[in-house]
Amino acid sequence: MTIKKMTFGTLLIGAGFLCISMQASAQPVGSSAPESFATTRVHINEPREFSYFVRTESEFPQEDPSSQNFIPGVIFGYPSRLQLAMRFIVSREERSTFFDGFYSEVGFAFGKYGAVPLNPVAIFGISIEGFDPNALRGMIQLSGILNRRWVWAANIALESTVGGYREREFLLNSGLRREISPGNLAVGGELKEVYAISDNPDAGPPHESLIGPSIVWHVNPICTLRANSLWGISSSSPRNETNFFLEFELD
Amino acid sequence: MPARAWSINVSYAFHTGWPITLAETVEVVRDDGERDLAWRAEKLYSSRLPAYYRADVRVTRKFRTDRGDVRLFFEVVNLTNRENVFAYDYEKAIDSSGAYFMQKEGETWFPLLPSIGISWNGGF
Repeated sequence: MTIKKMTFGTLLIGAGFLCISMQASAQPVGSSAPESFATTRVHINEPREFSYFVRTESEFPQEDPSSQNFIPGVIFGYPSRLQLAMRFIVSREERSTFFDGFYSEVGFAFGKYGAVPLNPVAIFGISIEGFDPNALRGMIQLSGILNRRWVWAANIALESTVGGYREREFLLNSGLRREISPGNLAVGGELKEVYAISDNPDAGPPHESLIGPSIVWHVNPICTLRANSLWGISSSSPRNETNFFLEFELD
Repeated sequence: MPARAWSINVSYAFHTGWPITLAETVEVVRDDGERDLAWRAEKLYSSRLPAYYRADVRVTRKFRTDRGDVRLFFEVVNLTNRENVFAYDYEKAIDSSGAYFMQKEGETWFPLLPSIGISWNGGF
């Protein structure tokens, strides 16, 4: 899988950080979009909503010198159902400071949530490492609510490297869940399919197919659990992937 | 869900190691007659990387202002400092008897990674 290549990994980590911020801000009280799944994204920011964040990271490897990353980012939700997300990385290592990377993503919702069948959202992202374009990412998000009790979502993504090794990856994430106790407990399943083409000798297997149970549980007013455990095969080998998110909200 | 001042997020991710194609060494003879080592790939995806797991935690303090919500957060990625291998490097080395051998060293994802940050969420 291309995730094992550091350059592509940078993109995915970047997308992950953005995803966390988007998930945190994309479901405010009153939003008509359903809650996200453990690994499947649902919708973009509300119109006229913006998020700015900045973070610093410190790495202390056992053998290599320490390094610090300074990462500012913004997410804008525009009235025209457009969303723009950007994230910069400035690194400091061994007394030198340098621009290490940039990730930008544009999202467009084809209609307000519920107005267009399948609620499609198109996303295009670019990752720049150093000053060179490194990878491109295109994604279609689809989601819907059926009979008020069933919620489903699907992310279809295509990623491609621009320079270096030729790597392309097709990813399908899909989830379906039923509200057992509306607002409190929802259970269902998630599916992940990956097809990859790569010239990189360190790249992983070309095909991965996983499926398994998924849960969103508001345990009590302060605690929410999102989890899934996907099982399947990866180039004829058995494989498991488990994600577990626990959130506490306190006064 | 009502807006709260503090939030604590804990995440844990696990997956079994990806199938990987390792390399083995073979002895070769150079044009000048000297013996040397070369490496060749083993059977495709016949081995596995070690299992990957990672625990992260984030503590966030939220402040409501007239211009939106401000959040201060402290986060630690890879709380257990797990060395998650994503590939192997091979290097030719010499042992005490002067013979060549191939050394395999795992390349790992980031170690324990603390971070602090601030986010501002509002309307425009």
